Amino acid sequence: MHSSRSRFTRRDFLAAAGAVSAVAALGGCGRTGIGNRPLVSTQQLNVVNWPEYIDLGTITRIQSELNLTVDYREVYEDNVTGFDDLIAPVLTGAATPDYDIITPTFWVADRIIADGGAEPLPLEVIPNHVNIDPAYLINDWDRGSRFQMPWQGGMTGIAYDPALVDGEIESINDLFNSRLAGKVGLVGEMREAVGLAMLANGDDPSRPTPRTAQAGLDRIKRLVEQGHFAKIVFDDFVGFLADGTLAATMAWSGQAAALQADRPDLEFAIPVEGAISWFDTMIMPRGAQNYLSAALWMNWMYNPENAAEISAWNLYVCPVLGTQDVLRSRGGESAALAENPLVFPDADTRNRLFNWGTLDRETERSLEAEFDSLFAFFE
Amino acid sequence: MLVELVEIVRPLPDDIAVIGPPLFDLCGIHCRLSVGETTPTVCVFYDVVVTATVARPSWLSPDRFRTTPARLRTWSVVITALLSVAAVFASFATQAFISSVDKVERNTGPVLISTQRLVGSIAEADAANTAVFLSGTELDRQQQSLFENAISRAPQQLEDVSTGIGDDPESHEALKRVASQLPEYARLAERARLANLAGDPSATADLQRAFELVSGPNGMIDNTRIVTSRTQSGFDDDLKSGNLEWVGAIVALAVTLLVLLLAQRNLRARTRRTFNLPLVLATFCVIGLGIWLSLALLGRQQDLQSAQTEAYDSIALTAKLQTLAFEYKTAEALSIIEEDASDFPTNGAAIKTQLKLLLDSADSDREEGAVGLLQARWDRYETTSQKVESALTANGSTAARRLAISEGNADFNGFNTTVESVLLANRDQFNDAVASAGHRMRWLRLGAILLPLLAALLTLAGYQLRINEYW
Repeated sequence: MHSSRSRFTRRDFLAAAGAVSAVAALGGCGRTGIGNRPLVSTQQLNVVNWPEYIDLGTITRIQSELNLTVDYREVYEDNVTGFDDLIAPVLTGAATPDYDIITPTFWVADRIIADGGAEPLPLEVIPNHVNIDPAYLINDWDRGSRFQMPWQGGMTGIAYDPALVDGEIESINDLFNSRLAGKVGLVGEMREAVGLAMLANGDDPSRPTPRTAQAGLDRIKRLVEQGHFAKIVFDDFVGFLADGTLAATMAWSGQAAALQADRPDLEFAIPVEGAISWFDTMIMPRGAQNYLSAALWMNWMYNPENAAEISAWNLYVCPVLGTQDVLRSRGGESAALAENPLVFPDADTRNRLFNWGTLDRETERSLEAEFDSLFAFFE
Repeated sequence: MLVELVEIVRPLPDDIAVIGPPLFDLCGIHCRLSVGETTPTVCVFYDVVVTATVARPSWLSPDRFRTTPARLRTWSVVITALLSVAAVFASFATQAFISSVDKVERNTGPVLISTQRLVGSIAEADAANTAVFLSGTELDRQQQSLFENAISRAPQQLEDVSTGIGDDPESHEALKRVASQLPEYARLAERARLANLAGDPSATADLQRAFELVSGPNGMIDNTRIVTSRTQSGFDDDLKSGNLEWVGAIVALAVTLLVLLLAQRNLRARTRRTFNLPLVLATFCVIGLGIWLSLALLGRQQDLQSAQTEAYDSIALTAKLQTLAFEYKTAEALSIIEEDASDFPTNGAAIKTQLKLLLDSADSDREEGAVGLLQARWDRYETTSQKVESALTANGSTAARRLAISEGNADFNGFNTTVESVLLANRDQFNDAVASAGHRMRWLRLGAILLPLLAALLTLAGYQLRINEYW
């Protein structure tokens, strides 16, 4: 005789117990780890850089001195496509980084850091961090350089051929003067072009507001529409200036200094209103495979002896303290380079340089889009 | 269902056991009676006739509770009740843990950090302001920018502190004073700068008054110290919060565990079964919850203490170092302005001591690396400052001024921003530790309900398995 009521059997019980204990086991986990990412030697390093910052002999030297295999790619050609193609996919998680160091300009680095896309620097293996020029440490977006190290700095001023402009260009307003219409180059980086226009308007690009930035952009736009600019230029301004296509152009100091070596008659001016200063950064993307190697590379770059080699080759503004003294001590051309204000700006020069300040991201995107639309005029 | 054995007609042979009404085991055959049914039931092997009558007792009859199934059910109800009480205590304890971690995460922690950052901003503004004053007509744009940025950061930090301190009147009063001193300070600093540019001798007096507003008695630094001290004591309270509730939960769980063990002993004696799997698992649930609660408490203590000792204490040390360094820088600038080398800062040794303390408190290679950078930056600045002092003594204020506003400011900025990066790294470490304490509690709230519930279900199921055998 068996009861007809459904009964809770041992089999039922075991099934239920198994399910619940699985949930309980799940509940037991959940603590996130604290602490630093461990430093593991992989002896491999993948670097993405702008073209022509380092000569390839230096890469060989680094490989030998640091015992690393370096995959060095000069594929970062401008910040807009560089960000879209190389950085954004990593930030959004659509791709894992296939590079351990990338060298975007500071405002892109600002975005990466704000979005949590940068690894903090392992300071214990970068003692040469102490050699960062303090002028690069005061940025509100990365006070004290916790997430990036300045790579090379530069100024965007005016390069010109005195023979073609009939005299000197001393101010941005001279560059915008209609007598140079059709013979002027416009730099293709929004913050530099608009920054110079803001200075010409009497505004401070280091403290931009949506209104002052828009006024600067509007001024550029009017000049583009009037056909004042013949070309949008990046580092190709060198060729246009050398062959006379352009009489004057907004120009980067490093390339201008290199051009002057061949054409001493060409001039590079920091306008009376001021020039735009900028710097590219070395940044490790979140999830970089060769964290330790990247840190060793950065430390190597901040050894003043090594930095002196690099500065002597690329002629950009060197952010490494002690480099000027190393060059002076070498005498000859090196000593002359140490006194070049385009590579080592003196206090007066520095006081005339303006770093683009930060606007809210929406405004910056809108300005970028409007600036990019100007490229159509030059196609 | 209750069954009474009324009569056994003939004595049973020795190997026939009466297991219990209404179940008879006759010759290894289970015989079961229904209500109202009367035997004889015949055992074919032994020719034994058993006669029994099955009756239903009244609802309130004490007999109802004397039967084995009723006793088993009573046990299960008592244990379930105890488990409910334990669940309530465990939930209270969990809630107390979560509240204390939430408070540290949302109030105490951010207030402590924002207060230190506010102190940093005020001190930085003061040092930059004196540097700007020193640069005179050759306005040092970088220092002016640092001054303006620090002054514009401070109100937000003040707001952050204010929203996080809750209803502590003393802290609010102190903050109110800072809120009124800050714009007054900015006004005096700007007036001093303009007066200096105009060659007005009142400029230095204004600068001194601005300086008093920062570092003088009841100045901004003093007032922020009140907030820090009050919040620090709140942090200590948060560390202890939840301990009493934890004791309550553990006692409730221990009593439940004891009763569960007794129940199993009783069941084993009554049913001759070695163990009852659901009850054993229910026991593990109770033990598991007790261990989980204890580990959560210990882990939370550990995380919050780590936040305090490894991160917050370093934040406090770093902020103190920063303040000392700003005082040094301001004193240096004032001695140049007043052209009096005897006023040159004397707290260099205190700064070195602070750096040593910071190095001693470093708990990782990375932190040691950061403090090493800090020391190198300070040494660099101190060397420049000594040159400034020598220049002031030997050549007067012009040479000293030139050196101070060029190399001196740059080296000091290097030191100051490195201090700030250490401060930010410690802030991140603090937030990580508090977040980790929060993560420990993530599932505990659910576990404190689910595990006792599960144990109760297991208990009921375990007893039901036995009770079923009587049907």
